[in-house]
Amino acid sequence: MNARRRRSRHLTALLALLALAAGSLAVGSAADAATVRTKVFELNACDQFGRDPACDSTAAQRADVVASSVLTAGSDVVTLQEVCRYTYDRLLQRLGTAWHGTFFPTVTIGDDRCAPGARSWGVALLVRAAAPTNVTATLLPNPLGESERRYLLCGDVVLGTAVRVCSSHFSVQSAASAEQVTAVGSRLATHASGGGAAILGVDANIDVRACAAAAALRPLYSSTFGGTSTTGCQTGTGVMVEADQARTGGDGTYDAPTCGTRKCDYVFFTRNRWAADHRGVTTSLWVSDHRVLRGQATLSW
Amino acid sequence: MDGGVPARRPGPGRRLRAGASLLGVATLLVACATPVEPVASRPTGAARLDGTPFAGLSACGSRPFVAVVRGFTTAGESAEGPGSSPSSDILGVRQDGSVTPVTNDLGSYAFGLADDGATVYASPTPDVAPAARAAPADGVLAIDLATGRRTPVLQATDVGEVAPAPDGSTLALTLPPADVPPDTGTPSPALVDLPAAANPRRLAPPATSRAATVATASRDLTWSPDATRLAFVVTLPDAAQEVRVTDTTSGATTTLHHVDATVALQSLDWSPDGTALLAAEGRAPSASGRSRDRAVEIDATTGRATVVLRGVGGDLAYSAADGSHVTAIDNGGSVPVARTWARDAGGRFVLTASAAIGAAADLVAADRIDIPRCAMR
Repeated sequence: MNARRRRSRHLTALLALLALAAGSLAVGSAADAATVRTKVFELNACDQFGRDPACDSTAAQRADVVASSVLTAGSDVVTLQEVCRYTYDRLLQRLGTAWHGTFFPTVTIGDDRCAPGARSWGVALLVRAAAPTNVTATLLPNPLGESERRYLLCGDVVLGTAVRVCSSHFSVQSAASAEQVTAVGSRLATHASGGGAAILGVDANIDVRACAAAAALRPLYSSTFGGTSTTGCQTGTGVMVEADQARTGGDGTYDAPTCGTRKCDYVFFTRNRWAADHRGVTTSLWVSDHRVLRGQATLSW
Repeated sequence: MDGGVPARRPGPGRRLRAGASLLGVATLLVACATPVEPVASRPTGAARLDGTPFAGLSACGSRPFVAVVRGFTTAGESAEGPGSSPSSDILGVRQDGSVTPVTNDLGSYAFGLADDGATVYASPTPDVAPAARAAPADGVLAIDLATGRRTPVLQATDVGEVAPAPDGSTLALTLPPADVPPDTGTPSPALVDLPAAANPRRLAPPATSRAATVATASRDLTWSPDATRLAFVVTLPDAAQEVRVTDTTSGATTTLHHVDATVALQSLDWSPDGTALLAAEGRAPSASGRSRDRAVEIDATTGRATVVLRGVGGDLAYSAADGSHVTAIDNGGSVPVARTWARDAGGRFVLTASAAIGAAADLVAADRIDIPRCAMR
């Protein structure tokens, strides 16, 4: 066999090998889903300077502390309630250009808690990704005719794959918050029925640690939950799993309080899009009377 | 001498060995002893730490209270105002530390106590969000502390702070600009002579180059004892804060103290002799959680600030006629605690009294302590 023929046979063999390798890779990609660990930072920021001695730090101090905490935790989603527009803007600036978000003013306030910012105060969501699209602020039920309305703020982002991130703050009065839970649960269920993945960071003003009160959260939770034991005392009718919800193989600490002795704050993930490896951790920040809830779980697509 | 056999004195060698042994024992005792912390200096004549933080004040004649505070109750926490703010009432404090509501409608008042301890001038916070109001609903009331009688003093849109002059002849207020929609624009200090027959007059803008920075908000109004100067805190566009003082006769305003955006000026109080301003500076705690708040006295002439108390923030007020005591409400625990400090020989304040306050009134927090000059001894 002359040299030319040997080179030709070698080349053929090499090409065959390459084709085989490419084929193997193709088969492997189809079988292995992509995943990303989603890390959510949920906080009622308590922007109440001059209005509440429990939260007597300025908007600027608050923004700087939250930014530091977000970066330290390596979070990639932030959901906030009771936050000044100024705090949101300053926070975004501190987090850096990789971060984008959206703010919605839920009420016009009549004081200067947000100084040097304008009197704009509400809810917000921020992501370490491109700016949210399809941003909506849905007015929630107001059965008691409260002067301060409640909203569900949502936006579509890409965190590995398409995710809808939402932030909300329900009423203090249980008759109102219960209806708001139902409304939000319904919207999340509709979204999930289409295969969507959603995150909800919320100050629900409902204590899941109290069994009787926890019943109001059923439209959000998708399985057993509530109380202070791992067995749960309520059964959900919704589609979400909460980051600090008890589960087999969890960290052993669940439904940790976020506002005094109660759990008011939640990070929900769409159950059938995130793995059953969720985890929630709470930490205190001196600028708020709520603890930060860091919720994380693995999203696959 | 009683006639007994005299004791024999030990010889020099034995005295030396005994001395060495005693020295060794003494050294051992010192080495094993628990270290003793240096005793914090206490001012001469100051009481030991006791449970009566208001005992150094005295009632002003027949007036019922030695101080007033803004009080938050469990009910107030549930009855949130627009922007989820807890609602509050004005409470009067007696010499024994007991409290009694001055208002009980959760009106979330901004208020100031006249120096005769007889009248609180108060402006309620509307319970309806500004955008939802059909008409401006604001003004100032004079509340007689003895009878509870309320008398309208003036009607104005979106009154913020309220501070009566020591002689009761003038009210200092923060008001938004007159020609803008409600709850827009930058509130600034204004004066109205009592009785309020004329419109409030705005204070002149500051004169110094630094003070030329337009403030975005003004608060914590406090009058000098001679009623010639008004001090207040402003927030600047870069989130820095300043203490400014206005001569109410000439209208000239100067900046006395400046802090950057990492500090919150939480309270301001003029010293009884008019030579200094007491300011509480709220700061982020250390990494270990230690409070870095502090109180400073700012010389009213030079602006020099001296740290007089560390680890204390919130609302601080002078509580003695010679400026030797300050009082504050600590809301860091599960119940509010009133504390009083006395000045030591070095000029710093040391804690002398501490007691929970307002348990009978279901208080969960209290601040904005206001002590009339007539109650200070």
